[in-house]
Amino acid sequence: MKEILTVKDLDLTFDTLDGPVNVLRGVSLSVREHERVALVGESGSGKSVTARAILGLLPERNRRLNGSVVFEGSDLVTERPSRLRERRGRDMTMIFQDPMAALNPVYTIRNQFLAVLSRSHPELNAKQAEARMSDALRDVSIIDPTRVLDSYSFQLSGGLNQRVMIAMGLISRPRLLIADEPGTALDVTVQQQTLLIMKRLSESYGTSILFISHNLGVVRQFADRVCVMYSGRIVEEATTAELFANPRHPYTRALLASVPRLSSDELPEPIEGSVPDPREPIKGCPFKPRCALATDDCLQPIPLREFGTQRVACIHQEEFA
Amino acid sequence: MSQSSARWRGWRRFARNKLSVLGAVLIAIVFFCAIFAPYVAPYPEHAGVVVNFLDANQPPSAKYWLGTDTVGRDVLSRIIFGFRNSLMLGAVVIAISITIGTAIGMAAAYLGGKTELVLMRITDIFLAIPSLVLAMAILGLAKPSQLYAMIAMATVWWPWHARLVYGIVRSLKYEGFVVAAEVVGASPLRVMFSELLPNCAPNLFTKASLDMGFVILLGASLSFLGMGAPPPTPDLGTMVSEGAQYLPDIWWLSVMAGMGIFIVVLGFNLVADGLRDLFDIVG
Amino acid sequence: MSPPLLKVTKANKVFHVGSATVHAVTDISLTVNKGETVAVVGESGSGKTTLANLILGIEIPTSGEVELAGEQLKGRRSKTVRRKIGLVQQNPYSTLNPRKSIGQAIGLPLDVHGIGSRAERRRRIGELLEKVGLNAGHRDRRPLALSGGQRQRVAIARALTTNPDLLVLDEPTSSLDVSVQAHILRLLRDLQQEFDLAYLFITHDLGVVRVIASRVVVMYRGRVVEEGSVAAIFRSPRHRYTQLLLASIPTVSEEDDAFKPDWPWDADVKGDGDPAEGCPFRSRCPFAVERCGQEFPDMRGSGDHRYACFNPRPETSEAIVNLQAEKLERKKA
Ligand SMILES: Nc1ncnc2c1ncn2[C@@H]1O[C@H](COP(=O)(O)OP(=O)(O)OP(=O)(O)O)[C@@H](O)[C@H]1O
Ligand SMILES: Nc1ncnc2c1ncn2[C@@H]1O[C@H](COP(=O)(O)OP(=O)(O)OP(=O)(O)O)[C@@H](O)[C@H]1O
Ligand SMILES: [Mg+2]
Ligand SMILES: [Mg+2]
Repeated sequence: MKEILTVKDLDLTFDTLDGPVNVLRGVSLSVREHERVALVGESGSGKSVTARAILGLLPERNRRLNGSVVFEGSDLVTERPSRLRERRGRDMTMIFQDPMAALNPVYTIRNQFLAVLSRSHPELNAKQAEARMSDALRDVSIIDPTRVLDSYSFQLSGGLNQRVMIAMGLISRPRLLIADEPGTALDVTVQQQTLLIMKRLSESYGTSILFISHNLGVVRQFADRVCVMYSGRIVEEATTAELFANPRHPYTRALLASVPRLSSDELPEPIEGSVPDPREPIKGCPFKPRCALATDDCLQPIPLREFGTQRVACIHQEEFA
Repeated sequence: MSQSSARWRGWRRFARNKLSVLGAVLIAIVFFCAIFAPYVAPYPEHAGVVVNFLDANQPPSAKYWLGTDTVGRDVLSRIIFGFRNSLMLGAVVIAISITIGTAIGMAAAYLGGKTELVLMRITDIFLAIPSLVLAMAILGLAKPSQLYAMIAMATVWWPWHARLVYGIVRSLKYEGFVVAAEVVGASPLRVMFSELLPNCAPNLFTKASLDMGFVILLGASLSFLGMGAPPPTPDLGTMVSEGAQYLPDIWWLSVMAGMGIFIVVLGFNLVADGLRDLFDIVG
Repeated sequence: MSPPLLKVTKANKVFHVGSATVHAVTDISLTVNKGETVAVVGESGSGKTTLANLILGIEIPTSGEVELAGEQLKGRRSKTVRRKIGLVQQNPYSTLNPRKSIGQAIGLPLDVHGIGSRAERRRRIGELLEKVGLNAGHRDRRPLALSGGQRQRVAIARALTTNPDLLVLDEPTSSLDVSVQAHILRLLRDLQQEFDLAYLFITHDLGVVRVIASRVVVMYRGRVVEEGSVAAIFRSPRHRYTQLLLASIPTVSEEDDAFKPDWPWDADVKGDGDPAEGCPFRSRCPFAVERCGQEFPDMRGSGDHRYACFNPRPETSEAIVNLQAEKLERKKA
């Protein structure tokens, strides 16, 4: 299938007063038509920044961005801002991580939704727009769209706000949807439903989805392919089935071990230590300080190695295979 | 990061903005002149009632850098003393109007309900009347004096501050930290002043700095219309208006006083922009 | 027998939005005993936060009662009562005032209640920071310098300042990543053991419920539809909504999938009738019978497992339970 989005060697440094912060260190990933790709990793690993870099939503000042983001044949890194703005909200949309921050408490949901809708469908009259919005809200299992449209964000529960965000993101039927943790405040049944809606959208309109999440269970259900991110780089990439059946990178394994299990009532194992400080230069494998398998060889540069369709950035592979 | 280094980084960001630094320098000069006017001014006694017809109507020269007025007083000295007046006026007006505006905007937004309705209605009424007209109306009731001018201007100004605070607080009052304070049992006063006010401060300071310029300008307009400080107090607005009678021959009277106003207003405006950086929160 | 630590009796809360009325909480009764963890799960918008707000005194119930250690809480809460209940909120990014230091945040309850001298407060703040796995050096930092997990630790420390008996935790880990969540869950367990704390743990993550709670209350559209011990409910969910909830858990392995009840995903649902009457879940329930549209079922079942359903899921057969137990054994071995 055709690749709709190809990110290559994305390298991002913020120049802060404390010196340069290297948040992305050569991220490469691709999303094909109809495909749902998940980006997982701990907080601070650079998932949201990757999403913003793709959409050209990074702050203009004090950043150095290298690499390319090719979307439908054109490089977004070098594209004119006006052209990029046009694409956003129409060809590619984003569902933001924090709905409370993305929704303005001073306007009703209706006002904000109308603003979004009028960008992609300026031709609709008031009545049609109202119907469109109601349908979109019903699609995300909101049973009383009128009440929700009348409300302010603070009058709605966190989950309702998130569903509103999802409905807004989907209304223009984009080519590429980037969903940054769209399910954090949703209960599992609604989560299932919204995932199903997104899945349906991707299947019937060919919308590709880049799905950012730290919920590995959701990823297992939803994604076709998974990229595991750690400290600004992708350390493992595999099809979903493969990754969950046979996680290779020690980080992926540790991540899986920290998920509470139904089959056990023991508390899950957290990963000791923390994500490396992006201000410090890293030699070799960024996971080394937290890794049980670490040896001196891990200080060498670690390339992504292929194992079938699986790509792993770890030298301790033979032990597992 | 410790607090002092956070502050330090704020300064560094401020310093990056060249125009704000220029503004800060202008204001510093003006403040210095105002505070040390008796030592800075070449002829401090000219701030009062001095008549020196020999040197009247002199154009700018080495002796009188900015020339002299119709009774022979040094214009530069009077401008320097005028700064005192202007800054005092601005500071008092802003202080009063921030206090009233913050109290009203905060109470309306945080308490909500009937309080909100009544307070914001009152604010809107004040906002609806053009400032100069309102100030003149108030001043019309009394003899012209610096004090009345200040009260009149504060009356005109507070609704803007009320609106500003109202907007900020309204979007903050559902934040977790506000709820957390309420749950612990913090009184509404504590929530408003200890939790919400610090979050309004950066915007208030920025606005205050911008307003400082405008208030001084408005004060000057009032004096220009003869409703400010009575003579012989040196006042930049009064100087412009008096000098206007002698235009264009004795041009330096109005123009120099006008420049003085311009410098103060510009300085505060430039600084306002940088203040945002200074107060931006860092870890 | 001494009264339970927290007792909510027939609590109701009705909101008015425009011309609509929202029954956020309807006839909810629940108890929490000293030292135990009761999880409240339920769909988003089912009234969990509203219930928490009623318990915390942020909202006043339209009707019904809240009792703390046998004492009825009415009107404005006294400071003594407020000290007894702590709150940990969902969003670590808004729970701390960005303009105040961590020390000030944790010290707030001490300030409000006028506890201790300056030096004592300082010491206590340092002590609390250590308790939650930070250190006294964090005292002068600003929230912005902290990660989500660290902020949540600070929020927990703040909730512990007044030595409460009960913590209300409103989705405390749902915006944290899994590994941080695992840390926080451990922290909560350790604190519970050390201080004999009771938790009212609101969440929508049933995996978390499984490992941290001893009892579960399942809410749907403002009502309690099932409650019981974690073991009983996970072994044999009876209410159809609970069944759906468990069946929807996004698991990470096939092993775990074996512990989920099945659900007829493709079954037809009628979903007709007045939603205000009868069982609110009926519009999504393929098992609905006629009676479901007429009245809300009374709670049935006994002791440690009660549910409100006319056509409940049959109890899980011994055979399956044994099979699951066997799998568990094998995994441990
Ligand atoms: N404008 C910025 N200036 C400096 N550093 C930044 C900026 N934006 C993000 N960062 C840093 O980039 C890193 C990656 O952040 P990002 O938000 O992408 O993490 P994430 O993987 O999305 O985490 P989460 O799961 O918490 O959302 C962090 O260390 C963050 O502090
Ligand atoms: N202040 C309010 N005004 C009007 N309606 C409200 C208010 N607070 C809550 N509601 C409504 O009450 C219902 C229950 O909300 P609540 O926040 O308790 O749900 P929740 O179970 O906590 O959901 P979530 O899991 O999404 O946080 C929702 O329909 C919500 O819109
Ligand atoms: Mg993110
Ligand atoms: Mg809630």
